[in-house]
Amino acid sequence: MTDELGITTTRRRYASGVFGAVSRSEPPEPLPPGSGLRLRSKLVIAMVLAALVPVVVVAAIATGVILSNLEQGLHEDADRQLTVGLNLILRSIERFGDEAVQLSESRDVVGAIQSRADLDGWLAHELGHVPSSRLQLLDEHGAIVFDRMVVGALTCDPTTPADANRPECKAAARFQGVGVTAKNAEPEGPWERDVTLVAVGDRVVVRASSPIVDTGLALRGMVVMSTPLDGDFADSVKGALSADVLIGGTNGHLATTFRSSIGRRAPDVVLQQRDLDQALRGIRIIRNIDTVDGSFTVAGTGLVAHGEKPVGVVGVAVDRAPLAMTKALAIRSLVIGGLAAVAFALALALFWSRRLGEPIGRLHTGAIAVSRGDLDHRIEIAGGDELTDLAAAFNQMTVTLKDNQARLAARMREIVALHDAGRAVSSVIDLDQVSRKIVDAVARTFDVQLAALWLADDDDSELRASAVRGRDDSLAAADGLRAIAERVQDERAPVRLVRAADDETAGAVAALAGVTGPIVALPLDRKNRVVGVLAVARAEGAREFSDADLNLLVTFADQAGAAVENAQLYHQVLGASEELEKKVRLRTSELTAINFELGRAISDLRETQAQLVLSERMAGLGLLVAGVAHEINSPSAAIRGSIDSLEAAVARVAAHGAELAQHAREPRVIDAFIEETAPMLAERPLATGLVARKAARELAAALDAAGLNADTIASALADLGVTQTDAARFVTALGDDKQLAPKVVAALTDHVYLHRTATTVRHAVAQIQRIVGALKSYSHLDQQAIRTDADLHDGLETTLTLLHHALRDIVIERRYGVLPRVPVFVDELNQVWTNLISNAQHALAGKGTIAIETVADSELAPEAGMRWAIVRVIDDGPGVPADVLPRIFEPFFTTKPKGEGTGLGLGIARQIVAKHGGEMRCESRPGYTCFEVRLPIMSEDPSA
Amino acid sequence: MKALALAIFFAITACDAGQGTLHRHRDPGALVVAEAADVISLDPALVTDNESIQLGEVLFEGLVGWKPGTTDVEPMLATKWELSPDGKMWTFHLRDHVRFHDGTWLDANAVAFSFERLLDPKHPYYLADAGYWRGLLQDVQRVVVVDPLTVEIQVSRPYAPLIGELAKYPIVSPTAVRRWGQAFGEHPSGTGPYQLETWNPGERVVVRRFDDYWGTPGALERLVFLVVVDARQRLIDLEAGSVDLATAILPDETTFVELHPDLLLYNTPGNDVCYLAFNVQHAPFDDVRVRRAANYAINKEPIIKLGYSGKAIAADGPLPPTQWGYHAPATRYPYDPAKAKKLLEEAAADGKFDPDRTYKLYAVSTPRPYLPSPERVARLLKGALDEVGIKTELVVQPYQQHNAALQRGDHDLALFGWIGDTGDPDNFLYVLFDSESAHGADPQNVAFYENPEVDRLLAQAQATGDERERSSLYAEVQDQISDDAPWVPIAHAQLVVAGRAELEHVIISPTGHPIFPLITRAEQR
Repeated sequence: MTDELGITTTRRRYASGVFGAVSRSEPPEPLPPGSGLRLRSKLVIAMVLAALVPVVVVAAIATGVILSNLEQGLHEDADRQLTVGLNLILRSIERFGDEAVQLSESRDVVGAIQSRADLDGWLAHELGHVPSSRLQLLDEHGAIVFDRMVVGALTCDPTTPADANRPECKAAARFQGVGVTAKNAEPEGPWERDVTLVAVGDRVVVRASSPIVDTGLALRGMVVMSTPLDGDFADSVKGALSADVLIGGTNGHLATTFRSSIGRRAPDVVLQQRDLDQALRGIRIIRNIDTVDGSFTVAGTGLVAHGEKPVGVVGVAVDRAPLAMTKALAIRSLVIGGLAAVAFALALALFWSRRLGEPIGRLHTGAIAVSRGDLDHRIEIAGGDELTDLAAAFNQMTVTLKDNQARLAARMREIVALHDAGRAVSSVIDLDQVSRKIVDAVARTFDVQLAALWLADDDDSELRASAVRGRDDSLAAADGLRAIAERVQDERAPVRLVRAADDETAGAVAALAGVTGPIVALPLDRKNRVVGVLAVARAEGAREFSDADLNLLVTFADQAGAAVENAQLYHQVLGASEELEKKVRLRTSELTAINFELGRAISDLRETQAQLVLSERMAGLGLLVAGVAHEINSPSAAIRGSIDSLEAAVARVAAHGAELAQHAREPRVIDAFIEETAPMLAERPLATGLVARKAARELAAALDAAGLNADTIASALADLGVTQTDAARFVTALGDDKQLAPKVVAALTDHVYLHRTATTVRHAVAQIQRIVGALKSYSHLDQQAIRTDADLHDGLETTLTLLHHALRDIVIERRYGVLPRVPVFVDELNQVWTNLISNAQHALAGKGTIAIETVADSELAPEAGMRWAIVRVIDDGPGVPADVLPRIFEPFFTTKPKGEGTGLGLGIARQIVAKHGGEMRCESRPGYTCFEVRLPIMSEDPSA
Repeated sequence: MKALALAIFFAITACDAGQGTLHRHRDPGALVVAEAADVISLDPALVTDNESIQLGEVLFEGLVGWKPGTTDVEPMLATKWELSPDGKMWTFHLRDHVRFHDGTWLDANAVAFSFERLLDPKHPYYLADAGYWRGLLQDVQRVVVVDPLTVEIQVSRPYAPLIGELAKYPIVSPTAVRRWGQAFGEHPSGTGPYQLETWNPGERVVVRRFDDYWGTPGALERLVFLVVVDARQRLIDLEAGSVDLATAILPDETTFVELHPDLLLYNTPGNDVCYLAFNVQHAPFDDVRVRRAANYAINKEPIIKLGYSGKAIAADGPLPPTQWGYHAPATRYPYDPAKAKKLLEEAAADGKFDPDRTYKLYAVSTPRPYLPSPERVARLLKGALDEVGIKTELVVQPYQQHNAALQRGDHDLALFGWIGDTGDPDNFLYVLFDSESAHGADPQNVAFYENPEVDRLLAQAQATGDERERSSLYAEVQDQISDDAPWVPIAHAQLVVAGRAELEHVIISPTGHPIFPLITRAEQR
């Protein structure tokens, strides 16, 4: 039963708890253990996090900010140190220059340089303020007169090998190669006080020069001092800085002031190429660099000589060790602080979870008990906090729950019963059965004395009692409640009476009928229509109808109303469907008749169409016949003319033969000459006019020479086309019969004429045969109406032959491509060609060009293997007007004057092409009209 | 959660990976200039010192101006002008819609007012102390207001240098002059691209961009002129970046600036001259032989090398070769100590020269643009003069005392110099050699040289408008002066200003001042 109600299993478990009486026999299901973390654990985690996260975050932020500031400070410090270092280096360079100036202004220098003697003595005197450097003195011509390397109080002469090998001079090795040579001392250039930086190899060298002048300001020489910017130089600067100094050339290898633990100079620091480039461009770089000696923040920048040319890089390195130590300390403190916070939070969390956990456990036990159906379980928690309140509320809840459970069980039973009733009511379709089921169900569910149902066919129609369940089940028993039912129908609202007698009108009637107890009547409402009224009454003194009863009844009335309406509709549908069947039968018979008529009409139409096609073909034939007649007429006239003169010619030939046989001494020779020469001359074109006269003169000369009387025969022979050779043979054949020459010539003339006439007749007959052949081929009278592999060019040529007459003045251009043979109905296709060519001829109005183009289209048709043979008939006539173009393939559409065309031509042509599985299309503009016929080269139906 | 905390930690500490250039904590919209001396007055009509003129150039404008970096005249407050055929009447058409810093509109009355306060002794705001400008503009007779935007300047004779002088003569707001009276020099109001913000005497002058300026506004919002008397300190401030430009750099320091990657040195030929003037009123320098002997005694090339670090050219006359009108004189004095001694012997024989006397050589202790290391040069000169037998004693004083002593004529010899203010040869030759310049309240002719022929030629050149004709007149003047030898011309110094490398568009005008409104600062490198 519960399954039928569709209540899910969980609900069923709940329901079984609720309906304890029903399911008490089932063993209580054990509550599944919580799959997640226990409350206690969550509490611990939450408190630990609550303690830890803020501590860690705040500490991390604070530490981060401090470290970042320290880092920033370190960078700023490096930047400042660089500014200071740069200043120190440049000041030191400047001082170097000052020393050079001082030396150049020193006492006795003018005298010493002029005498060249005792320069060492002079130097020894001045050595106190000569910095470690390469010191060179140049004379006024730029030649080096004195060259020493000065290291502290020691001087070494680089030009003396003995000096170079002195151990004390080892320290002076750094001054090797830094001095000027006589060549680059610019002796011709302006000698100025100058301090500059020059790149010597990978080294940067400071060079100071100062001219030596005497008191009269005359130039006497020059002091040049050079020193490399190397580690030793850096050492001299480092003392004034709280940072190490880096210095080096453009290759990025920087000498350092770092010392290893045994006091040796640390290896060069090598700048990365990008940093080096930046520094050389004069951009300050600040980088953190790790070396074997530790971690440093390095600030660097380029050194420039005059003219902004970079010569090297200078930098300072600030030790990062204090920062690193601070960082480590901070992180250590952070970790220790974090761990302490965790430990504290853990302890606190454990304490509180214990204090809270126990009463919650009791609540938990209570909840489990309630869930098992033990609604008598009570929880007592002392302490007066929220948990005590919770326990009180819990106890209150179980009491209320128990109460509700009992009420819910009763209501549930009613709902189930009513639901059941609704299903029962809906399960029948007969109106009477439905009515009975309704009153049965109500009577059973609500335990009533009387249940009655009235039905109304429509809104205002009178109620009629449909079913009653009471003491005797007779419909008359319902009469007592009829007044109430009618009121309900009018008001469309349920009426509830605690006692029948309470109502003065309807109630009184009911009471008279013996229905004195509580009454409820309610409308069966369907889509704003009252389909019926249901009334129930209990015996006097029985339980009155509650709100819940009324709600249930209203719900039930809805269902009952639906069932009643369904039953009513079913009745109506039953009647309607019979009517429909009758109508369908009638219509079917009408349609059959119409169908028959249509069939007849279609066959008529087909016949007409065949006739039309035939007539179109006949019209085409008519066109052809006119041409054919003309064509045949000409040769037959020629034959007739030839035959008329033939008789006379034959007679003359015979006469000549007889005469020659009689008079000639060698008639056979002459005959043989005539027999041989006549056909030959007949083949030659006739000589006329000037040519003939010229030939005649030449022949006359030749014949005269042969002793013949040329006057009479020369022009005759020339007219026959006789050449000098022929004339010679003629003379030979004549031999001594010179007097017979005119006769022979006459005989030859007639022979030639005979041969020519025969040729004319032969030609005429051939012409006639050709036309007849074409006609035969055109209509394909000798072929069956099946597809034959044909050369499309043959059909086109046949058609052109037959239309030759009409196409007299039209130039036909044949642009034939190579086409394979195509399976076609030859005669039908010829009709297409005739149509297209004669259309073109019409369009040209007698003059113009028609091009016929054939081409095999290599493009693959949608079906693989299909190729197209394309025939285009193109004319250069005025073209088809644009408004006409779309209509040209319509049947009966024509632009020709009435009587000249049926208007079926192109339509039929298209049908024929379509029958071949091909397509036909037209493209037209003034001066170019093209009809294109595409035919598949393979038959679309391989079986055909 | 722990991961989040670590992420925050690293995000914060990651800041230290930013290894960019550090910011200098200074207003990037302000240009800070370190000057060797405070300004004397902010009324340019009253001053001739470099620092005051320099400030006057950003606060005030003339009727005409110079194209940046040249002395070519271009329109300024006057958009065009005409000169009458007789050369005595200039008509200027003023620019419309130009405001003074105090809001007064520029009109012809303001222009007339600006001239009258200089030229009319009865004017209520007469500038009694403006001797220099009054001398330059003495030929201006009347300034006539034709209409609100047209003004006529009548001169007593044709006077060609006027147009160059007008480029530097300030047009002032009459309202401001009336309001402040004698204190106008502390509350200046001109039409220039910058207006005064504060002036703490002896400390700093701050000017800010004038919002209603008629032309292209200044590129930077503020100019701060700091008084840093010590040259070394100026350089240190520049190096530290607290100063953008430093003027009057010592020649000894140029090496430092040139080698410093963050600094740039701006050299430009200066429109100046450094000279050793003889007081021709004092014996024995009234004798031309003694003056010529001194000229032969001095070898200038070593002085250029040693006293200017090569940043100058040896002078053979008062005009620098870059000034139009320059002429290489016919009489030259190559270094020839023997000839010098011979001339002195001749003079001594005539009783005109006493080899045993010691003469006072006055020199200034303050470095000047034309004389960056005055004492060194003075010592070199003394050595060279001693060598030929002219015994001297050095009297070294600060600029103002030195100037006053020279104008009084206390000296026998004086090491001094001149910077051309107007771009016209007249500004050298008339100011330094005309007999009128030897008299009056503010004499610039400290040789007290007087030659009527020179006076005549100078007056004629002033009256001629044609530049070629003037050039030939000035050539005659220069020949005459060289022959008379009232000076030993020493050098034309290059102007040296040091600046931070991030500055752009630094153009030095021929008077040696950077053209401040054009200067911009490149993005932080």
